[in-house]
Amino acid sequence: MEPVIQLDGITKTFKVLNRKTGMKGAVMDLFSRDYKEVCAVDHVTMSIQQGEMVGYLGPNGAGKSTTIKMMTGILEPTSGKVIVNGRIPYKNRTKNAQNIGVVFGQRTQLWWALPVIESFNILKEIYCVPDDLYKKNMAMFNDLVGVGDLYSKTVRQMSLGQRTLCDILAAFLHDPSVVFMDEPTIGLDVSMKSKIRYLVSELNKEKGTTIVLTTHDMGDVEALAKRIVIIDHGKMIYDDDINHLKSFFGAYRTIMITPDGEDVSDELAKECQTGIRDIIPEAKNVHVTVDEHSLAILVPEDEVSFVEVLQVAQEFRPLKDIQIKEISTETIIRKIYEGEAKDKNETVATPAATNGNESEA
Amino acid sequence: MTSNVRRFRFSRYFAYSKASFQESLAFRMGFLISIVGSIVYTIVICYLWKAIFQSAGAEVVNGMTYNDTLVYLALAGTITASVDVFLVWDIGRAIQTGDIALAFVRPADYFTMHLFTCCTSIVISFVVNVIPIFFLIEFISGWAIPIGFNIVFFMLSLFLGIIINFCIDFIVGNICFYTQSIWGINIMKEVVVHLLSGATIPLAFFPDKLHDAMMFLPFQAIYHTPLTMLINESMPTETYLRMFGVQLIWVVVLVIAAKLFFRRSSRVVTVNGG
Repeated sequence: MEPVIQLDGITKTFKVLNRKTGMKGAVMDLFSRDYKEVCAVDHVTMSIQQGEMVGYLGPNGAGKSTTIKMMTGILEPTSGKVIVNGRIPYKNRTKNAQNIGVVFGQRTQLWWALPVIESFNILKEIYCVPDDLYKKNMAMFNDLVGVGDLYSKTVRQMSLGQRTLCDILAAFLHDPSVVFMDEPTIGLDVSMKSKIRYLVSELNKEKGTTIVLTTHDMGDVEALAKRIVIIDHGKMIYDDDINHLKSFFGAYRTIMITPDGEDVSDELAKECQTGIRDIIPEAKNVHVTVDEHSLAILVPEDEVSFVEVLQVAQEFRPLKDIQIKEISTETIIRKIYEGEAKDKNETVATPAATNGNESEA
Repeated sequence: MTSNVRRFRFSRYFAYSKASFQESLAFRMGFLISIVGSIVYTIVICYLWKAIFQSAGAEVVNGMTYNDTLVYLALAGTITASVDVFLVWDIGRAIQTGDIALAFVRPADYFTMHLFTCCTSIVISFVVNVIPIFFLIEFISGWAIPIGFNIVFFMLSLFLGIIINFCIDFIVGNICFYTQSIWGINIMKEVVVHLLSGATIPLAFFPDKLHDAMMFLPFQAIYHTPLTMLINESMPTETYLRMFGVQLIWVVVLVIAAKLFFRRSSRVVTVNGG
């Protein structure tokens, strides 16, 4: 089966003026021809099949949004090839737009001063959605999230969460084959986030829509994406199943212990670390550090049993509190990135390279 | 699905007109204020040129009587106000804020989309501004504007003028793709268009050579041509044909130029923020 999205070594560089500081610098900038090239996306290659949900991750400024903008046809790649639904997006902007949906968490595509239902009606006409499909979709949206009472509100009177919800529905109104979401849950509260995750995963299931999602929220990724792609400094550094990511790089959990009636110190951390290493011989990579009023025990789970370490830690001192922390996206990304720097593509290039061929249809 | 899309092609642009109509109605105070503005402008023009004619001490200046001048300028003023839909500003702001991205992911041609959006606001302000002012001027000038076929020619010619003005605005707005700033360019455009189109001073008042040169520019086809058709009850058929011909040529040239320029300039778009 043809992939719905095919990126082939796409690169985007921007020309940026080297700005000087201060009043004098600002004046000199007027006449400056001193440009530098900034590479926002650097030879990214991937293919996405119809119906996949892909989490596209990376720190701020990694080039995620730029990639999305190239896939939606807003930007033209400096080099490389993008194919979406069998078309080159920037060359066929209008045709491409008919078959994609876009949600920008920080912007709204709804008409600011109009009630939402009017925006939907206008979008229906812009996308030439047939009446029966429109009715069917609206009924489905209502079943999923029951937003009927929001429809008469104007967008400017809505809360951010309500607006995002409506924006997502609007993106699915014309049955696109791909929906791009650029940080859809940014700035939302917990319950709205979970509502949106439910909505998106149901829409993906019911309609078989391909979804490409960028986010900084690991919860979004875990709830939605089976496959994740990580990018940093414009370069793709990971492209594989999410479970693989966890076992491959993120088989770390942290135990936070707060001793009762004793202040934590570096010495105490050291004592705890040697204590654990003495009792459990495999635990040579367990590290203990001070984190505010607690000790943080970092456990590499592929080397040592987490439960064993937990037991030892419990008996180390009388404890006031104990917490188990999952590793965060940012930490995994940092680990992957550092890992790549250390052993030059070996550990990292493998999953990325194999996945290109075997990504499930 | 594709056949459906073709059949309904134009309806998608009317949807933009509709959206713009509904949005304008949402801010109804705007109408009231704009009509007050037009009335004040008309009164100012009325007294300003009365003073000019009195100090000149002649009944006819540059072939125009006081009434001619008043009718010409007051109408030009209100038509300018309704035709100017701040398109340059809209495009510039969309580029600066990055909202341009949203327009680019819609299955609609950017040029046509803006044209349909603008037409709505022009029609609205024509109804609430130009028509009342038209009668106000008729009243002040003692029914100086003839009512007959000239109105039909005027409307047709004004329609072409609006498209010419739209294209100029669109092209100037697209410069923002390169400059990322629109303020200065927009100010310059307004001054040039208002002066060379005859919106601030009747073209007849310019020196002959300048006047002749201006006839070769697209600007006079925006306001001067329709107003000339309105003020003169009838002109030789030849004159009508020539005037419409010139307007049509400019429409064709500028639509092509605008579309070509957009194709080029939109490729350098950098979406700001997020």
